Amino acid sequence: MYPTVELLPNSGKTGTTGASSWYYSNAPPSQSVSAMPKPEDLRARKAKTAAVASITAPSFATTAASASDGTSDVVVKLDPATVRRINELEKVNWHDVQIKIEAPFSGRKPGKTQNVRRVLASQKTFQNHLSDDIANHELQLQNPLYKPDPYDPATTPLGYVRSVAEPPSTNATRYRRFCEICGYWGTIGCLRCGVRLCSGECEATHKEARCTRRF
Amino acid sequence: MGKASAPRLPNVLVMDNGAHTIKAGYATRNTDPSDCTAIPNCIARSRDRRVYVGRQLESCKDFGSIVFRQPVEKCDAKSTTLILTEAPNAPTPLQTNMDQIVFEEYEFGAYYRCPASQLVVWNDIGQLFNPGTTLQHNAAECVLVVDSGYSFTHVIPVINGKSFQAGIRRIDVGGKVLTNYLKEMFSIRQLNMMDETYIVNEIKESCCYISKDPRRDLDICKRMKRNSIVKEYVLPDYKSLHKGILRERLEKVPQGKEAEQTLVVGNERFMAPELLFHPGDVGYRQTGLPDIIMKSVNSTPEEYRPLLLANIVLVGGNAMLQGLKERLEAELVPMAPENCIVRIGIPEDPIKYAWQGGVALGNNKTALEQHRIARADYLEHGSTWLAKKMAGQSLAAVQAGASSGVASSSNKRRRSSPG
Repeated sequence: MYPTVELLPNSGKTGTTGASSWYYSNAPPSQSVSAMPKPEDLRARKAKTAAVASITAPSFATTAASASDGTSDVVVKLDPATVRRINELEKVNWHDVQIKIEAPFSGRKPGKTQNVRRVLASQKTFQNHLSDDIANHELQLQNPLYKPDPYDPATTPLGYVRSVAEPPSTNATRYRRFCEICGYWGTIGCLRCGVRLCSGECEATHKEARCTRRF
Repeated sequence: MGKASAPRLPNVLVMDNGAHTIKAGYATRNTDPSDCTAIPNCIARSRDRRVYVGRQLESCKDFGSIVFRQPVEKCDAKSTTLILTEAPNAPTPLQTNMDQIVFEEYEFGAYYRCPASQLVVWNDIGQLFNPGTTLQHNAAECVLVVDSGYSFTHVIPVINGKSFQAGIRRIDVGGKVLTNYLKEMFSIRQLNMMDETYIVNEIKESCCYISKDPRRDLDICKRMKRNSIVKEYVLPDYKSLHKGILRERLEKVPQGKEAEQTLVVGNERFMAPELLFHPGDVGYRQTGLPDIIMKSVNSTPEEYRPLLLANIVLVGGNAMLQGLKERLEAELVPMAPENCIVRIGIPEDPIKYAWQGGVALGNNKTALEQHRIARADYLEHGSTWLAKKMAGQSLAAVQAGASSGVASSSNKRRRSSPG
């Protein structure tokens, strides 16, 4: 769902700006990111992937804390099923619907000035803007020229990604799990599909109606 | 900041631009909450394909532009100051777009844009904790605003009327996720409610609460057949019944006449809002509300921490959940330093509270003069200048009054940072 933002290796001389699916770079084409990486800079590549991973998924940015102090090697990954579930929970409608707006509310066509017409004609979605913003923020922080001086926590914005709550510190891998059928503690798992259940009674209901995987 | 050249503008329009509802209305001396119009921020289509009406809301989130027009066109924009809210950490291009539309399309006389939390503090916060204290006319000094809205829950320390940027924390759980989670639970356990967002939202509003002890309540729901928690919700059929009813469970299901559809709401009542405290229950790798409040407080300078903890204000739609205050208090007290008092206040109408603060700001002529930016200035200096000016205002955080100097130094800093 979220577009990938690729960070270019950024030295002081080559100023780059990036966005969801494009970038400007004044580096020669042979050094562009789309050119094949040489086998010897695997380390650089690894670092780059870590940086990319840390900013690709804004709504579950798991590395917000670790990236801010420069150690972005611990990348906690969410499994695809969880990502899918969260995406579903954040949807407005269960089905994708397109609602067309028939006519403007007033007779006058909006757009008095050039700026307004540009804003109205913009095809960018909110997601595009958000990923632009995230990328710009990251680039700014990685830029060696950027030294807020003196660093003032009251005025320097954290940015969208870094202001998200951190993952729980204690026992971060295990979460509370609940019975799919009745919502009580999910103490046992279905042997066939692994869904959490609380009792034999619920297990029977689950097997009859909802168990999807069959061996 | 307020130019002497700015003309006197008689009207102040306050708009709290939320993802679910836009709260809008004029600020006058004797404005009360009923003057505030809540406009659903959505375009909806009903079952019979009529756009914008209908109770089967299949709503689509649009970035403001449609519902934005309604309240604005009613007024004479040129003589009006607009106070408009935005999301914390909003993308800069969108802020610029908004500024341009406000000044160039609608031609407002003057304009002030800030996160909703900064409007909250213009309310009489003291009244929340000690009813009967004298009315104040300035922004409260230190308030920790917990804004739990439709898309997010934000914790924002507001010090001297400005957001403390490093303290802004967010959980991605808001009213929308709660409703969808509830929908998912009902659909798995009872009826398919996946397309009934509107009804499930009403169920949420009518019966969800925050449990003081979810473990105990979960046991009660499981072990006892009859208990005080399990209720029954009669679903509207839009023929004889247009709004759902919450009632005790009936002993016998009525037979004979056309059977009404009911949903049994048991542990869903408190397990859905529980997400605010345990976002991990659906897979978010985020801590709960008490944790981010403490994180946020601890990121501020030490001298402000006790003040912030003693002035926590809950706003936004989720603040209407019963029991939120008690639960939060119970969890925060052990986490807070020993000598700190934890005080939490919930205004009477948490949804319109930020709007009321905006009204207070609008009535405070001197403060408004400091904050707003006149259209003439915008036309002279352009949108980049305006963006810096708006950001500069939040830069003037700790030194109130020395705003212009701080703003210009921040501009220099921004200019020196390409990218």
